[in-house]
Amino acid sequence: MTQTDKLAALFADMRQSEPYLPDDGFTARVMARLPKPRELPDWQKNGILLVFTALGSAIAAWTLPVDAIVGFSLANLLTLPVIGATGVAMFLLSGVIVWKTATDDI
Amino acid sequence: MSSDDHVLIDRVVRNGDQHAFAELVKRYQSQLRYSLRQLVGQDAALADDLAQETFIRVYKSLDQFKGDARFFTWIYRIAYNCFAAYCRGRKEELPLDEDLVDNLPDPDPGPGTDIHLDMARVLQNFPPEQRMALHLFYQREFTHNEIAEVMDRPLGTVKSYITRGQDKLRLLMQSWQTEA
Repeated sequence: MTQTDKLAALFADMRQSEPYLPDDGFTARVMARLPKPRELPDWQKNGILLVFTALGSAIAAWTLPVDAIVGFSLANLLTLPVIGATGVAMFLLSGVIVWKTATDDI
Repeated sequence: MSSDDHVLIDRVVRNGDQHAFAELVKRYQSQLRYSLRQLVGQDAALADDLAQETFIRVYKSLDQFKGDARFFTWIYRIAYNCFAAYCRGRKEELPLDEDLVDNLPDPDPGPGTDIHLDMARVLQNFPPEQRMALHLFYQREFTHNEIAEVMDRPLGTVKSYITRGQDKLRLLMQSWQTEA
């Protein structure tokens, strides 16, 4: 066996016996050091939200029969069953709030 | 580069998906950490620091990866830069050739002999460029062209690193066997 062959055999042996190194938290340490993903600043996020809300409202006002809906809603709200149901719901809600306040250790 | 790598890289670049990047790190961490341990003489903590630095640089410059080379080769290019920067900072002094004989791994190692540790020790006696070239050529089976790309050196220079390294290793093996 020549020296060249021996060298080749030595490295072949090294390739075959190369150990697998367990992660042992290595990936987590790398991830902890990564820069945070780029995010929009708050003023830009709020601006986008505002623009889309205004756009949605404009589309809704343009496509829906707003006058008819408002008139219909007001006429129905002033009926006795609706007033009564609202009163009962408010009474129950108040009861729940009082009970919750009394039982919570606040 | 496997198609799977391509999908993960795409997710990182387009969506900043860090989970996809974690998958890439898990996929290549063992090989890279092993390589760096071989290059820095089995100092596990130092090798892991260099590997971490490498992956962070990979993440930061992933959008520059064009996919015309293997992703693995590209990682090694960044790892080589980290390793070279470390060596420049340390200004390693190389021992005399005679000292190498004492560290040469047994070409026919018996049970319990750690040839990886022995080879890492031997490699410390070579200049960093030659160390990297020999490791990539023999352990990672990179082509001369790939090594030239990793190390950003002309092809002829890389061939010279490897030929001289081989000659030195052969000579050392001969000396070691004569002494044994």
